[in-house]
Amino acid sequence: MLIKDKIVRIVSMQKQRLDLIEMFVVSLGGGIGGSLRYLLSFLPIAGQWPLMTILINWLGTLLLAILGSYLSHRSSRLKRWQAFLGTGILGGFTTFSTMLLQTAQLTQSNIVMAGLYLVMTVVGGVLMIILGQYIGHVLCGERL
Amino acid sequence: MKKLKENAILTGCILVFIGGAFGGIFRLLLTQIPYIGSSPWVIVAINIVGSFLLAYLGSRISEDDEYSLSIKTFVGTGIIGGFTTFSTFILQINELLNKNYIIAFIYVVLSLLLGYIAVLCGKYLGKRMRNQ
Repeated sequence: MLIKDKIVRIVSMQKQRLDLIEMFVVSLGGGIGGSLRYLLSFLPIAGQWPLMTILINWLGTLLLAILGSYLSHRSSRLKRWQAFLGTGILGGFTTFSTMLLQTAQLTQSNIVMAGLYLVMTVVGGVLMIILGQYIGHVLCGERL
Repeated sequence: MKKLKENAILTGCILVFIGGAFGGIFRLLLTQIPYIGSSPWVIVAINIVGSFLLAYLGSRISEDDEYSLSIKTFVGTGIIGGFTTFSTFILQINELLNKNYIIAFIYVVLSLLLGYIAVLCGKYLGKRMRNQ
């Protein structure tokens, strides 16, 4: 790669880094997503399983996949919507750390359940992506 | 299940909102580091660091009084919960699956394994610091 090209790349990356509007919309979205997650944790769901975390993570993944495949058919002007909805709301809504903490807690009581919890969350998440991409394509097929 | 009054839930919601905003910004900034920011391994690092911090926080601070519960809600549920992300993690797995099954498998196993070890380390350190 030529040095000039490298400089151009770095400059464009720095421009990207200083996108204040993007930072603002991501922080707003992160706040909304986090608050939703917090409020949902007060819904009483009985059972030994941390079911709400599974549902939150699956739902967030599904919506992110729908959003991604929908926006991939659109113009690049929607980049900030992607940042607000995807990186912000859904990124803040879903959580990895709580899932692992709950896995560690489950391990102490029942190691089989802890394993099942992890596998269900991850495999279910991948299935949600596939489903979400399908839904996104259907949505675009109707609109385009 | 914690039983809180509506007022406390509203306060918690505001704390989580502000914390989640910070968490989201930290995550955004880390994924925009030149050259390495767009790599799927940045998400792994974010998730591992977040898992460690959440476990540390959980065992370092007790939930005895309202003040420490507020700290936990703000930092744990808000900042760290918004910092780590599950949806992007799964999205990266899906993208890797389309390219290379083995790397996708390594990605999942490393994320979960290292994250789990981070949780154990965080719990252990938190307990030790609390007892000191």
